[in-house]
Amino acid sequence: MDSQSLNKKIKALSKDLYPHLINSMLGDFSKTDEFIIPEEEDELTPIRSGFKIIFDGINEKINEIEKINDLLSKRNEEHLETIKRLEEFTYISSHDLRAPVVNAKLLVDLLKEDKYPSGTIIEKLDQSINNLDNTLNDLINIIARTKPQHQLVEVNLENTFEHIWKEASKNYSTDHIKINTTFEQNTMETSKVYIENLFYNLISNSLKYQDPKKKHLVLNLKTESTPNSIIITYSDNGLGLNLPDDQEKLFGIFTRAHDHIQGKGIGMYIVNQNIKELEGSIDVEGSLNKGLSFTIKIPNR
Amino acid sequence: MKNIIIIDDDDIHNFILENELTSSYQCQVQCFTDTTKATLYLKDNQPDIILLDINMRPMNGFEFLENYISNKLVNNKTKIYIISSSKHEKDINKAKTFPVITDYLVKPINYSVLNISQK
Repeated sequence: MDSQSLNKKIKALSKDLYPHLINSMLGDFSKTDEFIIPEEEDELTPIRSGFKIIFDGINEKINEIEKINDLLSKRNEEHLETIKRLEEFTYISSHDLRAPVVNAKLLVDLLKEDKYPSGTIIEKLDQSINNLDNTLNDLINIIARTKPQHQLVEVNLENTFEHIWKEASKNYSTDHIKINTTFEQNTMETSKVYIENLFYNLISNSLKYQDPKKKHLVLNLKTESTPNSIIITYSDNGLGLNLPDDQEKLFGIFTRAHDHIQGKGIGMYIVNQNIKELEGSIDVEGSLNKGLSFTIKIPNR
Repeated sequence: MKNIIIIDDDDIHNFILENELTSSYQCQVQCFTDTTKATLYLKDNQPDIILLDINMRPMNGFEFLENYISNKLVNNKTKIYIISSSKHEKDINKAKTFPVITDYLVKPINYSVLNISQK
């Protein structure tokens, strides 16, 4: 081989190497095509093989780093979510826990002063302590649910819905209620507790927030499956909500969207957390006096 | 005699406050647990003092104030105090963005701040 043709080959090789070298220096190695050695062997084949080993090595390392990066950003998201939850907690404790304690203290002061009939004050004291007890229990409930505890089992949606319907409706008159169900997909691998909790909250909210002006309360439930997920749609013709303004109140913690009816304001918060934990989504549509429609998507396992 | 209105959905605190203000101070007190009713009342009346809670449903104290301002109810006579059991920075900072608020009082409130005469 003469020096001229060798020179040509070296030039061609450096041209091939150039993008790989530049990209590896920029840390963008994965963007380049694979470094391919021509099948036909020549004097530079050992050099090419050497470079190929180096490039493949770098490529592999970069892939590893990218995987770790993905994992880290996922963890980071989880941590941000936890921080957000903790911030909600401090907000609640600075208000909902403090309010009944302040009231109890003031009432005890009044008792000491002996200015008012003690019967009335003791009654109010009793109420304050009950309020405190309820708020504490709710907080304990929520804290217990911050760690994923669900076990995946095969859940029969029709049976579960029927069972929960009986449970949730036992204190209501049901003669005027029409229920339409379509179970295109009847079983799913999921958390039984979460599905029960979902049905319970949807039904009990429909019962609580019925529109007294309508002759019938109509509930519609449909379950179906797509290649990737199970879709549950549920709707009623109740009082509805002012959406999207009230969406935050519906899914928020300790918030209620309807003022005139008692509720602790944690039911739909927990449902939303459960669905998030199953990597699913819950969406709500509707308007005031028209009723609500929920779409729940849970990935197929 | 000062006219005071309390807007708070906490019945028990309203009971305590109303009793204290009417028995130990020269005040006339009216309580509202419903912000809508309070707004209606304020359209016809200008009290000396409004004691306003923040954490109420469905309309919270700040939302009430925004309404109060947009309904052009702000006047020279009425002083507005926030009364809240929340010591949370988020609420205190939010209150600072409303120039119409005279002061932010954390429950149990110190009556001397209100400048009302004792009986």
